[in-house]
Amino acid sequence: MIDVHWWKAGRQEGSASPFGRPETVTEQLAVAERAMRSLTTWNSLNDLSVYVTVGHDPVGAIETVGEGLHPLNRRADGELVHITYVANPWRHAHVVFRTMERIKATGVARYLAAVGHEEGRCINDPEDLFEPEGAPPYFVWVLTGELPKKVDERAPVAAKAPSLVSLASED
Amino acid sequence: MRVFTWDLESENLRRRAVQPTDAAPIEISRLLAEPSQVERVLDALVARLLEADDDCAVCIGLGGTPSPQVGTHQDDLIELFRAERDGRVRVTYARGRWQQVHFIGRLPSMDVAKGVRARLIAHGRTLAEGQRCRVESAGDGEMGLGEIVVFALVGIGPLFREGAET
Repeated sequence: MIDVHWWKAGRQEGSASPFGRPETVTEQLAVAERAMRSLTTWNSLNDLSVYVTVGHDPVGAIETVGEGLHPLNRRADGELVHITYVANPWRHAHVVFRTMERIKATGVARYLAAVGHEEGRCINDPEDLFEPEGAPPYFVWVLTGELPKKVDERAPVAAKAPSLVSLASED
Repeated sequence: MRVFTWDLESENLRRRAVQPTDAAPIEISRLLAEPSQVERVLDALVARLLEADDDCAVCIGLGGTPSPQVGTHQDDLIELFRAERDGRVRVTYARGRWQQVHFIGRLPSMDVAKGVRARLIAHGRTLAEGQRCRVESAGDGEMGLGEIVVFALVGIGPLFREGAET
């Protein structure tokens, strides 16, 4: 069972709160980023890895996400490739952004994945996030789970969001 | 990829094509257990390849439990072995360029299997000497707790020319 948390703007300027509802999820990039950074540094969560997703139906997607296998590590050995998967690793889902614009949803998801990489915990490639299908609103959510070993062996890279800064200022 | 198993029927080697719809594609207990019989399979495989008179390669490897989805492609990889342990699913794939996998035998332990594989490779190289056929080691697949399965990856064509980029 995955716990779902809906992040909204907090009472203090720029703060984020996980006690929202689907209709109150923040539409501000700065708040979503604040939530993302909280997730990736929040020791009390005891989760080790995060996975960013974008779509129009977070509840439906989160209900089925546990059914798949998630790659944990990969090793090449001549003509063979060994991949270890973990089943049902996810414990929490955090819906951190809401928008009516498809392109914006993807842009924010990529940016937040880059933020996750900067923190060294994100395991999906920002470039693998594509525009969501279905009707708006679109949501960006972050799965957090107890993967015992990070897949991403790359050095953390600072997230750059020149175009998304302008997105944030639109809000 | 096409998947085959080999067994004996009245002392004659029999090759069986595994169908994608087979519920239990590889029954380990039906695979050949005698190293000499496994060597006969390799003879037959290499002989058939040499008849093709094309560039070809045979890579002999070891593994544990063949996957129920053996031979299925995913992201240019072909699934061969699958084992579940400690909440982890460990899958061994072959690179996508291979055209056939033959499950040619089963052996009781890794030590025995490695010895047999070394002999198979040496024997296969002797058979293919001076021909356009390479015989090599494929590496080791994900091991289970039971017997060791011997398999051979087979590829024919320019991709398998000596020195071809993979």
